Parts: sequence; C-alpha cells; structure tokens
Amino acid sequence: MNMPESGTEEVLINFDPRTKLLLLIVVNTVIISDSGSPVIWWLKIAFVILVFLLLLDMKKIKMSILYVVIYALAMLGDHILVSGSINGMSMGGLVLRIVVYLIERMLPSVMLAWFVLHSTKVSEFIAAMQKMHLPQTLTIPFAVIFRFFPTISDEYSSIQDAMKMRDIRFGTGIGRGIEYRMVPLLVSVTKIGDELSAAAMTRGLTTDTKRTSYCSVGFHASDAAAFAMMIAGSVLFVTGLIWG
Amino acid sequence: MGVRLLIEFRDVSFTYAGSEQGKSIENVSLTIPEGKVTLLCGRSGCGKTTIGRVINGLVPYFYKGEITGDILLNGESILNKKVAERSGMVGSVFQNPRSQFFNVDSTSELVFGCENMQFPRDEIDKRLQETVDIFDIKELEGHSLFKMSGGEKQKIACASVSMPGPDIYVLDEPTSNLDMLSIKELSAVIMQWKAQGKTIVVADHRINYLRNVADKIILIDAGHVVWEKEADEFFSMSDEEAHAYGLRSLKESVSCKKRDSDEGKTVEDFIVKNLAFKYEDGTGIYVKDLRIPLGSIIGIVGENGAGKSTLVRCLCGLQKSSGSFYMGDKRLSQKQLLKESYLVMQDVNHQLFTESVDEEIRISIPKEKKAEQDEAVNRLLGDMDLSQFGRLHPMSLSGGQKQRVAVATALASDKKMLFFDEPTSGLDYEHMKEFSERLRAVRAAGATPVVITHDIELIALCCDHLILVSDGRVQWSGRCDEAALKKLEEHFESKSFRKNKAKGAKMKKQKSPAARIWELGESGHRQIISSVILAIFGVLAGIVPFVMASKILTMLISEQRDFNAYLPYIVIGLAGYLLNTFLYVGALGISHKATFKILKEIREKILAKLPKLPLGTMMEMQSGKLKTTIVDQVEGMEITLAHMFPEITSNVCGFFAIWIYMFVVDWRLALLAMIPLPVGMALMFASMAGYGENYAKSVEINTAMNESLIEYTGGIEVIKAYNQGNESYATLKDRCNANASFFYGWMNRCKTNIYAFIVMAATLITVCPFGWIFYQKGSLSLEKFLTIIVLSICVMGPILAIFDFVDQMAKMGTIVGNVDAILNAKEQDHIAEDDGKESGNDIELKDVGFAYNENQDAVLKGVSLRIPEGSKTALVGPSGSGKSTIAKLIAGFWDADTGSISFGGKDTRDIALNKLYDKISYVSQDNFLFDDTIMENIRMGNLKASDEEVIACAKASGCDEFISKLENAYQTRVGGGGAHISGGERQRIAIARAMLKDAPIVILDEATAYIDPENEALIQESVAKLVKGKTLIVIAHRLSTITDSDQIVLVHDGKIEAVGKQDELLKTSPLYKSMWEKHIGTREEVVA
Repeated sequence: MNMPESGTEEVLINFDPRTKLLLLIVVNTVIISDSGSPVIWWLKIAFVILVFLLLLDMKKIKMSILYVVIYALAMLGDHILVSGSINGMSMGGLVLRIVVYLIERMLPSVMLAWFVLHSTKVSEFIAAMQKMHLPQTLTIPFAVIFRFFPTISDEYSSIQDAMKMRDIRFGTGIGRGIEYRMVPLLVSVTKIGDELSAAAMTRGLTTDTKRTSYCSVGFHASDAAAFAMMIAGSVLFVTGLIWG
Repeated sequence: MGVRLLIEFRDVSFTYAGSEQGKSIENVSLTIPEGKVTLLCGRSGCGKTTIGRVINGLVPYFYKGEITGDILLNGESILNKKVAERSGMVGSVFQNPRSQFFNVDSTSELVFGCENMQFPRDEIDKRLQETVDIFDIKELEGHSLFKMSGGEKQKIACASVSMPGPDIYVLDEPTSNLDMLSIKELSAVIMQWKAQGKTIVVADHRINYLRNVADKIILIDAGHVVWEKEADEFFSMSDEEAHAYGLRSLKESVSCKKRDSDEGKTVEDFIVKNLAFKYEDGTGIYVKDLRIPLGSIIGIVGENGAGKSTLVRCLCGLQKSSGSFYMGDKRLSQKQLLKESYLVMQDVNHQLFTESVDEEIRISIPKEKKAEQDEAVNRLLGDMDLSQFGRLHPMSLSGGQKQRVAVATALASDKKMLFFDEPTSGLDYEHMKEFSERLRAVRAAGATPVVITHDIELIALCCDHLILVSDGRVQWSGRCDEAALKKLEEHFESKSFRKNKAKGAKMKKQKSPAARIWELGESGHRQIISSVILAIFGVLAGIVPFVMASKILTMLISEQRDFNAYLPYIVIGLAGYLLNTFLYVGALGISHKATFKILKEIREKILAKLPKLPLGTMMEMQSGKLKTTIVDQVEGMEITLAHMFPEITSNVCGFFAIWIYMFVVDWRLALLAMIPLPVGMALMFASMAGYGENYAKSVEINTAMNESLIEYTGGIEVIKAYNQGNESYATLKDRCNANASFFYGWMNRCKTNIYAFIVMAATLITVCPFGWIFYQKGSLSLEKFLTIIVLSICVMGPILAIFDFVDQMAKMGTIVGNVDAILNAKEQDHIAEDDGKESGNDIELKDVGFAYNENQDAVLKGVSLRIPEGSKTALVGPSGSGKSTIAKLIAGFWDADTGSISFGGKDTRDIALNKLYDKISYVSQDNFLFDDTIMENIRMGNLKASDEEVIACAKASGCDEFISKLENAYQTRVGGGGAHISGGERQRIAIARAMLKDAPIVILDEATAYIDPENEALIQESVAKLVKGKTLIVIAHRLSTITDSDQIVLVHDGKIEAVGKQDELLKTSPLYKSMWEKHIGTREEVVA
C-alpha cells in the first residue's frame, strides 16, 4: 500500500506548507527549463540534490538512492548523446533521447511532488491556506483532494486486482480498458466521498466559519533557509537565462 | 420522576429524494431516555440508520428529502438546526472506517472536531490529553490511520468523536468491520460514555455485545416502530424469537447449527507449503503446511490485523509470495493460482465493469466454451437468483445482488476456489442466512467457497472447515464443530488478555539500537555533538593531503623542476595531515568522556528501576545474568559507543565531501566512480540475506554440541562403568564436527562479502579507462584526470569504515535489548504511602487473570475466590494448574494483570508494598539462608526481635534441638546458601523465621513436599504452632494433610474448578475424587 507517512516518523525538516508551495514553483520551473547555460545546469544539480535530501529526511532511503541513481544514469545518457557516440537520429538513439529527456525533466518534479504530498498533514494544509486568507470554499475542496490521493490509489489497486482475477487486460481494447477501470473507480470514490463528507459534517466542518488549528503552522529557521535558497536560485536562474 | 427524556420523535416521516421505495420511515414517534443506551434494531433497510441520521441532522441536511413531523431535544425542536450546529451536541460514529476519517494521522483526526468548533488551542490540548488517557490510545497517537487495524480505527473514531464532549452519541453499525476482541473494547467504550452520563443511540445488526450494556431496545420494521422493550425483557427472548424479527443471535456464544449430513465431500486437498510473505515493516506471514479440503465450505477467522487478508491474497495469487501450492498432486504456479481462484471483495463495486449483468457474466466465460455461452449465462442467472436483472446495469443493483453477480462471474469462469472477504458485515439475520445458502449453492456447483469472516454466527451456520489465523501464522486448522467454536472463543479471550499485557511495549521495539542509545545517554548529547563536529573537520582536513598530492603529481608530470614551487603544497598537505590527526584524537577524547557518562547513566537507570520491579520478576532474574548485564555488557558498549557517533558521521561527511569535490572537478568521472558501489552493495546484501537464519542455525548446532558435551562429561561414570565410551564419544565427535563444518560452510558462503569489499573499493576500474577516453578526446585535462584518480582511491575508504560498524551495531542491539528488557519491565503499581488505615485480612480475588510473560498464555484466567480471615484454605490441583501463582499474587510478588485482589475490601494496589509484605509470611519448599549465623537468619523475620524471642521461636518450631547440637549453637554460620544443614532443618528455620515475623496471613507453598516422613511429623507440628489463629493458605500435593481445611480450592488449567470441604468435593468433583483416590492409593502402597 502506498500510504502517506506524515506524522509517523521523526523528520528533521518541517516546512510550512507555503514554503513547499514555493519550492514546487521554483524547483519545477528550473528543472523543466531548457537552457544550455552552465549556471542553470549547476542549479539543476543543486535542486536534484535538494530533492534527494528531502526524501532522505523522510527516511525513504531506498527510494531516494534509486532516484539519484536513475537521474545520474540519465545524465550520462545525455552526455553520450551530446558527445555523438550514438547517433541521435537512429532508432535506439531516439528512444534514448526520449527516455533521458523524460527523466531529466520530470523525475525531480515527480519526487518533489511526492515529498510535498506525503509530508503535509491535511490540517497543516488547511491552517496554512487560512493564514493566506484564502476562502474556505476553496481550501476545503483542496484538503479533500489531499485526503483522496491515498484513497484513490488504494481503490485503483483493488480494481487492478479484480481485473487480474477476471483475466481482463488491455486486450479488450484501450477504450474498454479505460472504461472498465474508470467506472468502478468513480463509483467507489464517489461513495467514499459521500460518506466522508457526511462524517466531516457531523464533526462540525463547515465552509462559513473559521477553524482553530491545533498544529502550529508558521515560519521557522528551515523555512527561512529554503526561502533564501529559492530566491538565490531564482536570481541565478534569471541571470543564467539572460547571460547564458 | 425517573429518567428524563432527552430526544423525542414526533410523528416523523422521511422520504429520500429520488427514492422509489417510498417513505424510509413513516410516522415514527419514539423517545430516547437521557443517560441510557438505546438500541435500534431491525432488518436491513428498516429505517434504523435513517433514525440515527435524523438525530445528527444528516437527514435532511445532507441526505436530502422530504421530512415531516418534529424532533425535539430537551423539549425544543432541533429540526431547523443544521448538521454543523448539532455537531457540538451529537457525536456520530459510522460503520466504515475507511470513509469516516478526514485526516491521515490520528492526532489530527482527534483534534479535528474541536478545531472545527473553534476551541482555543489550550483547551484542545487539555482535552486531547484527557481523551488519550481515558481511551488508552497513547501508543496510537500520531500514527497513520491507514496503517491501523479495524479495531484501532474504530477506537480512534470513538475517541475523536468524544473530544468536543457531546451529550449524545449516535453509532451506526459500528461493529461491521470488527473482530470479537475489538467489539468487546467497543462495548467497554460505550459503558464508559454511559458512566459519564451520556446518551447513546446504537443502530446495529450485531446485538449480543450489548447484553448488559443496552437499557432500551426499539425494534423498527419497514419504517415503523414495532415495539420498545426494556433490556431484561428483550434479552430473555430466545434466539428463535429474535430470528423471527430478523435479528441476529442475542446470546454471547453460539452453537454449531450444522447437521453432519450436510457436510461437503472432499475430493482432494489444496495444499500450501512454506508460504512466506514479508511486509515492509519486517513482520509477515508464514504458513508451513496447510491443507484446505476442496469441496467443503471453509472459514478463515482471526483478529483484525492477523494477516487473514494477506494470506488469502497469497492464496489467490494476487500477492507474490514464496511457497509451493498443490491442487491434489498437481503443483500450481502463481499464474495458475490466479486462474483457479477468485476473490469476492468486501467492496464488490471494484469488480463489476460492464454495462449489464448479462454482459458481465458473458465476458467471464472461457473461450473454449463460447458455444454454449447463452445457455450458461441463463443457467447462472437462474442459479444466483438474478434472472430478472439480466439487462440492468450492475451498479444499479443492491449490495447483495452485486455480490451475487460477482459470484456468478466467478462460477462462469470455472474458478475452483471462491474467496469472500467479510461478506456478511452489516447483514441482518435473514440476509446472512441467505448468504449461507448461497455458499452451499457454490459448493454444489463444484467450487470451494472460502470465507474470511468475523461473523461467528455465519461460521456456526455453514462452515465445514475452519482455519484460525493469528499473528501471521495458521494457529489451527480443522473440522468446524462445537469444539472448534469453543477453541475460537478461548483464542480470542487469551488474545485480549495478551493485548492488554503487551500494551505500551509495542511501540518501543522498533527503534534502532543507535537511536535507543542516543535516547538513553541524554546527558552526553552535547559532548557527542561536539566530538562529531570535530571529527567532521578532521576528515575534511584529511582530504587536504590527497588534493595536494594530486597537485604535486601534476607538476611532476609537467616536469616542474623548481623545488620551491612544490613547497607550499607539501606544507599545506602536511598541515592537513597533522590537523586531521589532532582533530581525530580530540574528537575521540571527548566522545570517550561522553561515553563513560552515558554508561554511568544507563547503569543508574537500571539500578533505579530494580526496586520498582515486582518481587517475582526479581526472583526470576538470575542474579548472575543481572550482574552480567549491568557490569559486563554495559561495559562492552564502551568502545563501539565512543567510536560510533563521531566516526560514522564523519565518514559519511568525508565520503560526500570527496565525492562532491570529484563532481566539481569532473562530474562524468564522479558518477562513473560510483558504479562499483551499488554492485558491491548488492553482493553484500546477497551474502547477508541468510544472516538471521544462519545465526539461528548456528545457535541450534552449538546448543546440540554443548548438550552432548555436558552429557558426556556428566555421565562419564556411567559411560565408563558400562563401557559405552566409544559410542558416546562418537556422538560427541559428530556434533563437534557438525558445528565446525557449519561455521566453515557459513564463512565460505560469506566469501561474497569479501568480494563485495573488493568490488566497492575498485573505483579505478571505471575511472581509469573512461578517464583515458575523455583525456584522449580532449574533454579532460591531465591535471583533472590525475586529481580524480587520487580522489577515487580515497573516496571508498570512509564507506568501508562504516560497514565495519554494521557488525558492531548488531552486537549493540543485543545489549540494548537486554538493558531495555530491564528498563521496560512492568513495574509494580502500588501507592508508595498508603492512607495508613488498617484494612481487614479477608482476602478476595475478583476475576484475576495473569501471565508471567506477555508472549505466554495466561496462567490464570478469571479466578475469583474468597478467603475469610482466620480460615484454612488449601489450594490443590495438578502441577502447572496455577495454584502456586495464585498464592504468589496474594503475597504481592506480582500484580494481577486483570481483575483485582483485595484485603478487607481494599485493593492491594492501594496498599503500600511494605505494608503488604508485613501482612504475609511466605514459606516455600526452597528457602534461602543467608551467609550468616542461624540467629541472624531467623531474625530476618523481624529485625527488632531480641535473642530470647528468636530462641523462643526456634524452640516452638522444633529447631532448638538440632541447633544446640551444632558446634556454635545459634552462632553457627550457615554459609553458602546454608549448605551444611539438611533440607528438613532448613525448612524448620524458615518456619521459625515466619513465626518470628508473626504476620496475620501465612502461605505455605508445598512446604512439606520433599521432606522425609520423620521430619514431616516435626514440621507438621511446628506448622501447627505457627498458624494458630492466622489465615492459612496451603498449597499441597499430599491431599491427606489438608483434609481438615475450611475450604479446599481445586485449581485446574488456570481456573477454579470447585470449592468446598473434603466430603463435599469428593461428592461433587470427579477430578478431586480421582486425585484423592490416586493419593490414597500411593499412600497405601507405601504403608504396605
């Protein structure tokens, strides 16, 4: 089962959800950007390592090492392509190019998203959004989405199991395959959503009143450090874009 | 007068919007009394859930529809109040633990309601502490709800709901997903709420757990109130009457309703061998040998989280596991398993994909049978009672109908085994019965239904074969009959008991030894941190010489001949080396100091703990072992501890520092240099894989060798006398050889480990050729190439140094385990100073349960007993029945785990331990004499006694006679455990000691068991003097010595079998009679 670990492990870094939001924006922008500038290249490496450290802090040791190794291989692959040892237009070269491109552009973002999702408690998220004076009508649906990721993956793996037992695979056509998966998923997710909303209402959750918050959300030293890093990163990024 | 009415329904009707069935409840008028538990029961869909929803406001504010009538709370209409407005007054617990939590971790969930209701933080904090205490969920705090068992989830749900302190609780089918154990806990929670004066409304199908809990029962049928009954009247109904109303059994235990004729015929067995599966956290399931008779209805039972679902997933082939599976003689692969079996999930929605029931079955029919497809579909629709639904969309059907469709699809695809996951949760009696009929139909169709269930009623109704799963193991497997059901009940009882005992210890175990030591050595933290920092700097300084060396090398190659150019590099390199040495020594100096501080602290903690341990535990711990732990083992931690923290951290930093430097010099080669690392690691893990098993095996072999060695040396007289020398020696020799060859083989297998080290260190293998290519192509300068070569030589050093600690860590783990075993041992929970009020000496045990060890079965199971002051009570029973344990609990050696022991109505826990010990003299068969004079040994009973008093007691106990014959009379030292006086004499000294103590209660634990007849008479006489006018508790094997007791208590298997006088017991208890006859028989033999 793929379940959030939040709150179950002692972690060193505990960012405010707003800091995580900033991290997502800056890191993703830099990683996805396509520039030959050496400054940006080094910046990317720094962010890749940052994401690695964040995962390490979540005690996901296997996962973080695997991530770094895969990224490093992609870097080597990129180098091989650039050096021209493999013809980039040959069939193998094309495949390698696509794989390398996907890994270099997507993997760090995906891992960072995983980190944010798994290190943020629903209540922390609500509290932070409240501090940003966002309306409850916006915050609560978002909070529900948060809560739903693990549920959806759970439900989906059940459906996958059911298909295995019925021996139904994509063989019946892609359209069918998607339908067979989506219909039961939607049905059970709606059902759970319904029950969840009912339960939350009886616990006094409404959109028109403010909540108090038990968990302390606020900026700490680590947030300040992250902010400084992100600002420095942004500056470097812009310089890199302008001057190459 | 009497009970206030809290909630009143006046003529309430409700229709769900869009419902075709008409009114869900119609003209319901009922009252719910304050501070009572009201149970709403009735068939599925009768409207009881709707009534609950009307109370918490979900009807009509969440589930929309048309409502008429009025609902009053304390006489005021609350119909206009929205759900959130009522949330402060009404707390709701729902059936599905998956969908009632808004948060992912338990603490957030607990405070969620209070946050929504805008409680201030301090208040939330206060309530959180209280709630955690009341519900005893300390160990669940802050953990992921997704990882909890159903019972734990429901407990958190109850606790969360009670946080804001509502006056009314509405529980909607709260037991649907719970095992017997968790249901019991739930009923305890409800009792607690009731004790707080809360009003509780429960709507549920299971009823028997509310016996003695519910006060008022309301039966609903088709939206109408049929009748209201008081608890006494309701629970005196017979099961037949209850079933007639569609209700489940009212009795706590059920009996097997199955008829033998109805049993299935076993064709062949499905055999599972050595199935093993591990979860991420290291626990797992293991099944050595399991036979499932095909053609029977199989039930799989076990507590929440026992591993049933995982086992079934492995059996279906959904989960990869090691193990072999056979159907009859045919071995099945995982794929074949998947083909032969089908799991009907708890949420059937997951497995219906198509647009019509018809289609659903059609796509399941295997290709070979496409010809008779239509016929097969029709037959199955008929079999499963689905004929009229063929064209409908599966999702539009009811839960039960969907389940039937799923079964039909499974039968259509010729599955041999059909697994059902909790198929009857939330079903009323009729639907459950219907389901059991369906299982029979499945069996008749030639498939084997296997049901995972908590529903004992269902098992009793239709299962032929039962498999009990507990802690990831198959505990028991066999025919489902009366005895099997009884076994189940007993299993859950002992499980609940163990759970209570294991509480608290559970979470502590998972910490790594390093983390635990860190915790233990709080006072040394600052020093350790500074030593770590020093060491890191040291390692960084240690890199400098290498960097300088590479510079020098480059200069040499570029044929620099001026020595002065080299000088600064040489000096810096040397300085770096010296700094490294200096910092390293400094760091170790500090960490050693810190270590001694930590060790001192650990020892102090152990010593502070010892007096708090139960006397019994102390007696059990051999003093030798204790000494080894405190002195030697703690000492043994020193070297590891002093080196571990600074060296591991600095080596990790050193590794990264060098590597990052390499990366900066040339990132391609830096990456390439790392390639051997994962390869080496993989080799390393491969060689470590069997470590645990190998270690266990080595212990086993070693023990076998030691045994035969002891046998050989111990029995050398006999061996020589009977000239068996050669043969015995041969066994010994074999075992020694086995031992040696095992270790030899193991070490041989560990060779890969060495390869691993070599591979890991071989960074040059990748760096040199690639570096050469890069250099040739011109993308790498010679200077950088040389630097990388030098750096890659030293980069692996730190990592290898870390691996050295792995082994030592394992050793530390054992030691920390031993230390923790003492530190975490259960303390005796008595008040230090009691109120001084003298309690009487009437002893009363109420429902006492006890186990010596949390992993062992209970020795006592619900013992209740009264021992009046001044009476003589004998505890008799077969060996191991628990009679000695009863006496030891009375004497305060341990505290009871469950139930209570009281003296004169005062719980022993409210009596200070020293007062309790004052009350009791305990004389056992094996009495310790101190290495001191006899006089002092007797005086132990009462240190204030004068010599004359001691001698008087000695005379009274018949000691004087033999003492005066001794060389120094009373001043004779009885050294080394009192070795030079006989057992009988020792016994008499112990009795004298007890006499001197003059405690009001005397316990004789087989005091005369192993004494020769002559001594026995003497001792009997002295005992008689000792116990005059006191409460006497005797444990005896010789029944003839206790015939005059006021009461004889026959203990059997941890329970009290019978209580009475000699003649009474001879008449009423066959067990006592047979024991008595045996005893008399042996006596006659002796006399004859």
